Amino acid sequence: MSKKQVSIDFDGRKLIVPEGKTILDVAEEQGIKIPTLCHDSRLEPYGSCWVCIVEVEGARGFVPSCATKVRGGMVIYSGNENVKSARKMALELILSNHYGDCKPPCTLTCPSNIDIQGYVGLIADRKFAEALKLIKKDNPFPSVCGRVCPRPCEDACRRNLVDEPVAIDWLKRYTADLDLFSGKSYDPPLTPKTGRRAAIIGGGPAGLSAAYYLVQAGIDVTVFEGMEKAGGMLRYGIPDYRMPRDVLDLEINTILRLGIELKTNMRLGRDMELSDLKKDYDAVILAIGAWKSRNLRVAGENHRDVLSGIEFLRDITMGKDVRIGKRVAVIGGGNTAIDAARTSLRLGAAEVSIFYRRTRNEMPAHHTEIDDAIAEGIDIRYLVAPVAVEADGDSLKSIELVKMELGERDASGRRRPVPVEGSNFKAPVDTVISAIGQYADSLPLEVMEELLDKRGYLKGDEYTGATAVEGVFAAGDLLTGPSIAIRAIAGGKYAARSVLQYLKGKTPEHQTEFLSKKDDLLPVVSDDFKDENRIPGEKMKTLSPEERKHSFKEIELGFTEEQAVREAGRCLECGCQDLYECKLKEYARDYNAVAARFLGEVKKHPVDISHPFIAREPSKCILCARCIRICLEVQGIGALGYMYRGFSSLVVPSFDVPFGEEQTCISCGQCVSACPVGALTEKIQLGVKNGISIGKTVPLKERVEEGYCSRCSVGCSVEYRYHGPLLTRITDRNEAVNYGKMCKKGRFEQSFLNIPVSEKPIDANGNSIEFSLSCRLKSTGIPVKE
Amino acid sequence: MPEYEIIIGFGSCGIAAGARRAFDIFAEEAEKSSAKISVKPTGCIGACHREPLVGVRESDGKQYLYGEVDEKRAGEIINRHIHGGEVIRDWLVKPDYPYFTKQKKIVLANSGIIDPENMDEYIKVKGYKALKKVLFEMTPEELIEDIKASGLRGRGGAGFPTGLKWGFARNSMGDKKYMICNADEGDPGAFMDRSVLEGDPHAVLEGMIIGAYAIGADEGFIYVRAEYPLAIKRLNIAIAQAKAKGLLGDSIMNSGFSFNVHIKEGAGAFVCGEETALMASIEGKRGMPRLRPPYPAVKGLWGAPTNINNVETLANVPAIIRMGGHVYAETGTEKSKGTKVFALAGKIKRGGMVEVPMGTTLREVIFDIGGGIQGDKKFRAVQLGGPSGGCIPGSLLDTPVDYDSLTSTGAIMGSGGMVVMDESTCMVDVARFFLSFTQNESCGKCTFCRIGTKRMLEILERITMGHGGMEDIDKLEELAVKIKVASLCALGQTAPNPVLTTLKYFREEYEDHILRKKCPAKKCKALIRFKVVPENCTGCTLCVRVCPTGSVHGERRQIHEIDPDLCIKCGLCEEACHFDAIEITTGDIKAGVIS
Repeated sequence: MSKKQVSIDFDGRKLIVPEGKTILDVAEEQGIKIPTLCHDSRLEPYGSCWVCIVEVEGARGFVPSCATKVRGGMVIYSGNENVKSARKMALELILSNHYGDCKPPCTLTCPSNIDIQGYVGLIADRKFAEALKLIKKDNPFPSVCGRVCPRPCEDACRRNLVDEPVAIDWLKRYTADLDLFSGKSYDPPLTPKTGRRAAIIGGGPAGLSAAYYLVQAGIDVTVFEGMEKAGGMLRYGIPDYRMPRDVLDLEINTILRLGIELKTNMRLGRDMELSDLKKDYDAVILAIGAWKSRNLRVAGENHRDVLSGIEFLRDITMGKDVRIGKRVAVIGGGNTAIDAARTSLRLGAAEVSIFYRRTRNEMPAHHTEIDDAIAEGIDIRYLVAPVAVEADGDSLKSIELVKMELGERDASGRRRPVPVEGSNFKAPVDTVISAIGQYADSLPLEVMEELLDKRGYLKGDEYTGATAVEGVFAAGDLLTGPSIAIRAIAGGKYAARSVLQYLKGKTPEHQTEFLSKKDDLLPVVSDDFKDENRIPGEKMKTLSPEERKHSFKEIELGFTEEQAVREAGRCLECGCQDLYECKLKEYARDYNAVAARFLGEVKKHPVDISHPFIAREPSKCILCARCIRICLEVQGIGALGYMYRGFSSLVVPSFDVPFGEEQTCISCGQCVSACPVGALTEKIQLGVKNGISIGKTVPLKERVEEGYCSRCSVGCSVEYRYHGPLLTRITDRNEAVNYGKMCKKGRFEQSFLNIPVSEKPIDANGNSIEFSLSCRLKSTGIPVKE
Repeated sequence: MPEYEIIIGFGSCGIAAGARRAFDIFAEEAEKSSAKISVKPTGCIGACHREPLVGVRESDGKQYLYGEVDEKRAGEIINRHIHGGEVIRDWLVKPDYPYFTKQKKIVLANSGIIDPENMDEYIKVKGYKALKKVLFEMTPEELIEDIKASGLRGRGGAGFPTGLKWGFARNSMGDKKYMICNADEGDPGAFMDRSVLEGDPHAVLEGMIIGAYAIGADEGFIYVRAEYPLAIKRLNIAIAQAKAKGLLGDSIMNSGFSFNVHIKEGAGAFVCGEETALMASIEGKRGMPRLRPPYPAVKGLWGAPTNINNVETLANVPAIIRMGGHVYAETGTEKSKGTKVFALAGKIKRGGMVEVPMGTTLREVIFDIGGGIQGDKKFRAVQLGGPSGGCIPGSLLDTPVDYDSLTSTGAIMGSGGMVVMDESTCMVDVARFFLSFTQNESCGKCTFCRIGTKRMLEILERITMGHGGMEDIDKLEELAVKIKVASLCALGQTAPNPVLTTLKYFREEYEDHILRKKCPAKKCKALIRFKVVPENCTGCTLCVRVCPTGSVHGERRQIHEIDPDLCIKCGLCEEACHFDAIEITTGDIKAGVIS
């Protein structure tokens, strides 16, 4: 019995469709994407989100396409400007009271946007191998960064509002070292060779990072390194006691062994020319760093005992004999200054002072480095600047300094130091090390003058690395100016991506995504965490100042496994569990919605984790009521309902009790499956030990495999979701026999599947399961990857 | 028959004004001499501004209406009029009182005349004649045709033709159908339905039974807000009386047609006046509107075909049947027939219940019937349709009251609230007030209403605080326009009307608040300042004594001063001052000094 066919006009197209179909269904069949948040094919149309609206000629106002059935002669506009702007406004209104972070502040602060919450959570769950893979997706140098990174992520860590930040960097180091020293460290999968070739000039963090990502994509990569060994500033700019050479060599090897050709002692302009490389290769990435030292610009600085900090550190690494006196004065406040001072100490200097023209608050060096330097006996003098260096024949006699005071703020936001007239004084000194900044040597680039700006600096797009010359990209300090390692690594990653886009004939583009951020709506404050337990951070074992100050042995000795797991457990899990599936995020990007456009009151609600399997975050709820409806109309339960009215409306478990105390909930998880955002999410339990969940819920990218549930004889259609070998979730599938419905056993009580076969499987209640796991799996056909 | 029949206005308005005390005094007298006088309550007589109203009907048919009858006047009326035969002319509400002369009463015909708790009185004024005629002389189809011919349109606000609506429900297939009377009157300042229910409950009931007969319903609900206890009481009495007389229940008047009515008391959610939310509420669910279609006529209460009419609509029905639809249609304009009841309130000299033929101009209602503005201040605007309506300026006072003319101004006919505003009203603040009402009453279901009206309200709050920017006006308009066309129900679709009409007619006031940080009406506290006028101040210290925060300083016979940091702008000093020595200034302070 076929339905009556009617003819309609859909966006100017004449269509014959069965009468009674909704406009949304017709659009779907036509491949037209209409966004909707409150619609669920398992439920009756509801009309709360008003995101799926379309225009129908003759109708008053917009109509919701999910509920409007087509009639003969209907003229429908599903995507005109009017419709688009209304949808955008609907999304922006929803976003204005959707208080949640898509991604955590740590990840967003990291120049390479490493999935920090992901790997920290996996560490808490003792899934170290998966944690490492997640890190390497964005950073091929985790053991290096785990030692030298000034960790902007930890400054951004919300745990600062509770007690102290999660030791993100040390967790990374723990995971990375575990892998690096395992003897069979991780290699990312490589795609087949494409036959395209890329030249990378500079084997530092930026160049090697670019090489790492290009080689994975099947590009033949040659890295030209000007020095004897690869590593760039990581090798020639950071002393051993912070960056042990064996770690660096091992980690560089994990990159090179993927099939990258490294040519050392090849200097641009000396041993090869850019124009030739451009001819010989499909793409070129410039990553030559910023190795030139800024001059002090004071009288007497050309004396042979006035050293450049960066050259000093390089010469030590290269094993050159560096002459150093008893009294060393280091000028500057960055990490190079600290490194030069501490290295001087290790070389036998008796008195090492650092002179910095501002105060400690403005010092660019990482605060732990400063503390360590002070602990080793280095004297740091603030608010002083050099005026002249006085020599006495071959040796230096003294350095003349002037006192400074802080004046107006400069462009960097720091207060500008101003000399105090008549406050000059002298300090006796044998060696002066200047470490007041570096810059890139752009001389070898002058052959292609369009690469450079008027001042002789390379100009390029910070996010894509694209330069004015087609096929030539830049990364690292050369592009950004002297910066931290992870920024160079990120630059390499972006440049590699741009090269891949370029090789496909596309214009390199920086991919953007919509990100909901709490701070855009209402700043997160310590009061938000008033109920959070105070847990001091794990302390890493270090050499004592006495042990270390005369040796180049590594000072920081790393976490133990238990320390790492405990420390990872301190993560507040700021990012959203629904990151990869959130419909609101997807549509917000599609419609260029701006969350802060209709700024106003924001309702903050505490997170409810009382339910054994489901986390509730009402601050993210968009009141689509799918959870309420599916619980009542499909499951016949009614465990969830509305409370309050108007803007204060809220979805709560009956009688507003904590979800875990709601008496009628059968933990079927339908509410989670219906929620289009991260207001209701599964608690993913990867960290199960002896039947007890110990870990974190980690938002992970999942691989989906269709299958059937084996927990009873019904055989429901389900989706098994994996991250690598880990079973993350089991979700419903809208097919026979269950058509999107599931029970507690099928959805939630399967975490034992993550227990290695060697362990005795235990169900969620802690009772041991009789059959062996492999036996069970074979009998059910569940696709589980080993 | 006693010599004098005393009729006392016993609507909520009268009771609130003290009618009970007058009633007791007359009742005491009636106990002494039942031959001489009898006392009965009646509904709202209409002239609420002169309550308590007491009518004296002499045995020869002469009638006098006394206004403002307090205990003292009640005693005097007994002494001088009842016993002395003297009509106290000074206290009379005269028959040629302009408040009454321009009105035409169809809906309110019995209100203020009959005792609403006495069914016999209703029957005496031809009550239930229409029902009898319908049941025995008309088929449902003929009845619906007659209603169509009358041109009656829904009085609840939207103005949908009643005959058409009944026809839909009639043609809808179903063994079970429902007839609902919507008495969930919720607009601030509106009290028409309450007065009708209190003054003439049987008329509503009769209209409802007739409607039920038209559509074929055997069960009905009157959805009335619990805040109307007197209306509920009188409805309950009316239902019991009608049942006892066989006018309600099984086989009414042995016609074979059965109809039962229940009263459902609403808990006061404004949105429950929306028909789908109202039905959800009757079903015991959260009062939230749902998508239409399906319309109630197809799928209503518990899924059955349902017809919903407003109180005033139903109260018109018996009269239409009695006079015939064509006769009824002679009153009113081309597209709006009959009369409309308004609750005239605000800064008006004579407020109360007003029923006028459609097509009467606003000016006639406000100035001829209402007598103009209190204290002879300047007219600023009239607000029609409550939170769903709009503010109409003086330039449009000659707009006739009919559905289409009022809609073209940006306001709506609405259910009949008519709030008159004088020059001391800040139009931005009015918009803010109505929006805060709708925002509070939004059910929270759809995005645009739940969040959109909230954001509009916040912008208006910002402007009245002096923190607004000109871009806020653009944002307000942008939101308003979209909310109107992208909200689920009429609450959201009409919520922006007060803002849009004030922006249309009083835009310069918004600009004053934003650009000049000035509230011309001197109402927005953040933008005004209380000052002492030194030349008028006598140093009497009256203001010093009333100031609750100690912000007024000054010794006796010294000119006083107000400390702006302490002043909370309550206005008590200005009220207390006998010498006009306190002035309010605006536009002379920086924005947001006072929060």
